[in-house]
Amino acid sequence: MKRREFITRSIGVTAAMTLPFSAKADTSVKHWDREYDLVIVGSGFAGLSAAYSANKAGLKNILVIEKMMAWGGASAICGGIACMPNTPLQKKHGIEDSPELLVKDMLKVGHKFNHLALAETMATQAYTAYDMMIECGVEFKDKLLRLGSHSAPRGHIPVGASGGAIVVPMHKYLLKKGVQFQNRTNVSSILRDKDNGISGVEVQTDFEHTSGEFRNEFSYKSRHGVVIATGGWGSDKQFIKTTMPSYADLRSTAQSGATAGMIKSLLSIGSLPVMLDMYQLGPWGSPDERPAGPGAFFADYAFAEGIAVDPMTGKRFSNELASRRDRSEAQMVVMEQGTKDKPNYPFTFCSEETTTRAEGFHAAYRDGAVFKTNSIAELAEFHGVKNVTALTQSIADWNKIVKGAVDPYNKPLDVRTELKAPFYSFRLSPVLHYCMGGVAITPNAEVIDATTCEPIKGLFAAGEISGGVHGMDRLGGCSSVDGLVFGQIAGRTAANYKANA
Amino acid sequence: MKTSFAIAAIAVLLSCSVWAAPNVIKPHHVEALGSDMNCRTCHTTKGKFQRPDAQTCIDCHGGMADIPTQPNRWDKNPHNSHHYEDLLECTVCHSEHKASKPLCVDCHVVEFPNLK
Repeated sequence: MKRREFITRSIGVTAAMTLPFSAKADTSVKHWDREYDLVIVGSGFAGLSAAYSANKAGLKNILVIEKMMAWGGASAICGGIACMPNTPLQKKHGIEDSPELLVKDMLKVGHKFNHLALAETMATQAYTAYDMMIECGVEFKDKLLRLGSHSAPRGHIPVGASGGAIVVPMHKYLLKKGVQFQNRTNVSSILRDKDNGISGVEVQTDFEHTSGEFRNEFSYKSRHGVVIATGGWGSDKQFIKTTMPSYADLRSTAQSGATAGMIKSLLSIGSLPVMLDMYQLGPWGSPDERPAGPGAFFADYAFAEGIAVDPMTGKRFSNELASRRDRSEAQMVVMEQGTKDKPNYPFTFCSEETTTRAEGFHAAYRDGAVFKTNSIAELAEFHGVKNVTALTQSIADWNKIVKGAVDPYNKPLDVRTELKAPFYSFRLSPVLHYCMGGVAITPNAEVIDATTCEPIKGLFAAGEISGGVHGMDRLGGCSSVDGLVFGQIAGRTAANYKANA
Repeated sequence: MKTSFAIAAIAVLLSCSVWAAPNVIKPHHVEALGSDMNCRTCHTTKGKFQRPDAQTCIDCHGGMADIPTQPNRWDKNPHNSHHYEDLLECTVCHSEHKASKPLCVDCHVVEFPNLK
């Protein structure tokens, strides 16, 4: 093994190499401070899955890099719901489902902006996510949740009702397999070798993400290319404002580390971007809690078993289980009927019985995001509904639908619960939730070059940093599966790739 | 007690003269270790001072399972969190030379008045 390697420094350089207006290339010589079989950037669903499959494929010396102090990024703090068709749990509950049906749902919600081959890959390989999680010791609750716009209840909920209940067992499984983890480490550049393939990264260690300070800089060689699994940039106000100005003021569910550093690095080495201006909104945001607080989990149950009402009219205004985009847009229309300072916040509510099965209810109620009212009059007064008769009628109409009448909004009903006092209500205000766009990838998780439209050698991406799987919007409980499936694919593809450096 | 704290603190500061700004040691550590304490008590690696490994803390305090968080009205138990379990280093939340800050507050409504 050569101690010293000659590589081409890449950031900004490769962009220059691929663009016609400049041919300047930095050919500085440097040595590698450390060498690995595979460097994976990001420790969430996608990064862990890449480490899992690369380890299975026989790679020994694997490093997972995390920028933050805490592991797992958005994956660790999300609800952890994974919508997978045809699992043993679905079969146990007698639920008819198929990958084809999931793809159909994804295309509908994604408005066919989906890259079909990617959507099909995710759906048909979702079982690999299930198998991997089970092997790593993840446990699921013995029930399945139907999230908005899904044709079947296929939401698997990890015990603990948090993505942490997935990433922690996977992380510990990988530690036992000898995978190395290094946090507080920022990847500042993706490095190319002399054949233009990706062969390593430049890192800043002891990185403090709030200040950008770091202690040392090193170059890590990665013999099998580099897997990028860094998630989205939902906390990067500037990047969001620049790509989608009308969402600039929305609150975001992202953790503070979700910045645009990596997407910028990927763009500057010539990756093909897709749909960078498309962001998903979460219809379960509320002015009464931080984005994606415990009330968001409760809201999924209130949407399913209760109704959502416009205070101005006292009536329902949408299918409460429509796609996230349709619901969020409907809510924003309702809000706009108020003033900017005092929006006309719609609210969703349910019966006490529903709260008994709703994860997040206890904390949301305790912390003041969910409000209890003991009668329709109280509920109306609390939310400023002037037309109490209309609200009373809306509840009566809903209870007829529960008993079998036709729902004009055609909401699917899996659990039929009479809507009666005491009511538990939750005010709604959409929040920015997910970066639909990212770098274009092949079904083998290879990042595509913007100038050649062919894969960049040795560069693999999976999860939220990639774009196209879901199209312009996505189903709930599917970004987890995206990361868990494409992460594994990226790890396998990388294991089969040999960098030249 | 106050005098011994001051003496210990001065001793610690003197022995850490490489630091430009004085680094304060928290009273509970000074009280527990007194003059036995110096920078190398926690900064165990040779050469430049580095952030202590979780193991350095665990050697005295035990792991998270041994020191559960006190029950609180927020039902939050950072030493047994759904999100991270025991994977986090102690220094993610606990600082010695500045105020400690629980990671949970980034997302959750929570306070730990007893946080060391």
